[in-house]
Amino acid sequence: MPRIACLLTPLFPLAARLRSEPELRGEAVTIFQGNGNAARVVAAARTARKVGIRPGMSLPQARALLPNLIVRARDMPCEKAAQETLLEIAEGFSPRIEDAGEGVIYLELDGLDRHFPGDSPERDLGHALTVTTDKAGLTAWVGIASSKLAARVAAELPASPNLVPAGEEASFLAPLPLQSLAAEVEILETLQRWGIRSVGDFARLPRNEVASRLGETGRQLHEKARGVDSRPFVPYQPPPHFAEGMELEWPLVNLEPFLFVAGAALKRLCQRLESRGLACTRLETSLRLEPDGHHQRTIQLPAPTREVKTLLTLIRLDLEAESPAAPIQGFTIVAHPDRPREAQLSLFGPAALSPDKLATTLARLFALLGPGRVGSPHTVNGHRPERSSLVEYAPPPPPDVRPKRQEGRGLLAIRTLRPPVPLEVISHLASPREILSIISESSARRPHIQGRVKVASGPWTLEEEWWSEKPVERDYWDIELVDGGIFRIFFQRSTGEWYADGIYD
Amino acid sequence: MQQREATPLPSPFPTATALDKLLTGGLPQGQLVELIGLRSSGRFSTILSSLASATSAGEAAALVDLGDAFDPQLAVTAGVDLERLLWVRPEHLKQTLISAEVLLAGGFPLVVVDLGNPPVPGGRGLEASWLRLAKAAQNHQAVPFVSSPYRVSGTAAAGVVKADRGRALWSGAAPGPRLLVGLSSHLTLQKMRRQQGNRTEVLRLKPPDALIYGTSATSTGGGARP
Repeated sequence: MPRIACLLTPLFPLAARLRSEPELRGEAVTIFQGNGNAARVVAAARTARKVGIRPGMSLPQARALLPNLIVRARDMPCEKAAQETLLEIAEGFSPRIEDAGEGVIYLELDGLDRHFPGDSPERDLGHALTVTTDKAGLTAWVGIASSKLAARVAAELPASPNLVPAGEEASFLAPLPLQSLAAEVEILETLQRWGIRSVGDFARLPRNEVASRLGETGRQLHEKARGVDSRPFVPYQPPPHFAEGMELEWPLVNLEPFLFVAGAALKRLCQRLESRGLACTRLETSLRLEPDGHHQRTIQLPAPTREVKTLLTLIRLDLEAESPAAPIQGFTIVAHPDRPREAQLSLFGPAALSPDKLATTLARLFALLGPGRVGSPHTVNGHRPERSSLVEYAPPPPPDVRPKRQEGRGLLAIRTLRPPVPLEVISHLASPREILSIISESSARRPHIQGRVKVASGPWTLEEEWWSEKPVERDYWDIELVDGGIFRIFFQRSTGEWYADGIYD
Repeated sequence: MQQREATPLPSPFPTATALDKLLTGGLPQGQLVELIGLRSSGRFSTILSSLASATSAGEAAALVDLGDAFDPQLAVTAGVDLERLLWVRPEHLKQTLISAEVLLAGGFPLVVVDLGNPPVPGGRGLEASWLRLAKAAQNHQAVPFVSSPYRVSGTAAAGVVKADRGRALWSGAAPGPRLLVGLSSHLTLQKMRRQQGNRTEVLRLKPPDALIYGTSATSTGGGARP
């Protein structure tokens, strides 16, 4: 029989909420479910339990006992994120885990004793699980046994971790009340009528007689009572993405308070990504609006990153550009993971950029400048100099040995004017003689080109896309003005207009 | 008494131009160098050459191009390895300075900042921003190389080089056909920490054989420059 550990978070709805709002720790917090008079307490913090608040109480009853009670509604996105966090922690210990829901995870422990070579490997593993869960902002109790039921019951006992030696599950369960088998109420009532109070009493009944009187459910319950758990272990398949979110106490109208809570959610998200050695490559923000409606945004990152500040800036810029139409009452942030870029350092060649730093740098620039403004330049087919394109910046690894630097080519470069600056040109025999700048609204922000032409050289003809509806036919001239400056200008044959598209510099 | 050993200065970053002679080897690491000059002074050619020098040696480099003047085709002709070059196109000076600082912090050994020609959107910027940029360069031992039409970085610049307005060199004589065959300019070292200033070097540049009138196989009718 394989050994199984049960990782149990007590009062899970409360623990999940406290993970999202850590400032409420130590306060008299109560989680309720339902609306109006049907609202019932589902979990209460220790301070609230001390004054008698119990699950199942109505909200007015609880408030009557403690007027300063802090009340929060049950938050499914929070609980889902907390459950996923527990699963990720468990995955860090065992490759085979089962998601039993509501803060309960089972781990198969076969072979894990090699990782904990002390006198009591299982106890050490239990302690390690508790410590890791604490660091993630959740509380967990651990029970280890040879069946899921025994492990679960052991986890619920005080002084975690609790170990049930192999083969002693039946004797461990025997003194426990029947309710610990989590059986159906009907069967429990029948057993109580028979005078059976503990699991041990039930286990001593003949198996066949129990099956003939209580049916299949009773037979399975009898096996459980004997320490035999016939339920198969259902391995957990991790989802392809990571999500964090919460329902807000009241709808938010301004961006700043939303970014405050979103920042905390992103921090938790990045911690989860980091624990798996992953980074975020695409971020989806889903806002639930009041009274109903959704605002869905997707941000594609230029490179995988897990820097909270950068991701938060991207969300800010995105929401500033496309604001939701109504107040926000809840949100979910989904991170699509990818492996961070990796690089091998070179001993003799130039230093490579750190992939992690590069990803963060690109994401920051992307957030600052927006799309289409950061990347690796790429040549475009054709000859029009104003054309260019950007591709994703992914530099090849540096050479193993530093190559010799290129000798200077002494090349006279041209500053491209994008878009070309319109000009008024006085020409004589088709050769430019004087240039007058055209005053327009946009000309104040463009280079001022004006003056008598000292030397003009040309024309050189450029013809492109003659097959299209708008063929390009330009006559290019290199000109030097009397008061300085060498320019490349062209005459556009189709419109009869002059433009400057470059400055020799 | 034990003699204190002098800390060796990190090797400079060559630009493969006359600038290297003025700066005794190249751009000093960890210090901000500003190159100023009006249009047609050879300023853009110098920064393109520095990018070609860095990327041809397998190093990553970044160009913060405020004027959006970079032509990838021309850069290839100048010897720039486009795969190793990050092209950043901000819209105003504030974005330019923040981008440069982010790039220095990101580990780029050479960050070229080109402010283009006047009017520069954003004016001269705050001196505190330039000082922060210089501090970032010092912290990361990287080289911010600023090309501007006028002085912008104030006391943050460790070195200032001025490029005079260039003189165009034409072949042929009027009224016959003329051809631009080069540009001659002077670079003057106006300021350099630990170095003597006011030294001048000649910068000679020649245009490429094919700029836009190229001889590319994809050409659909561009005439070759004579």
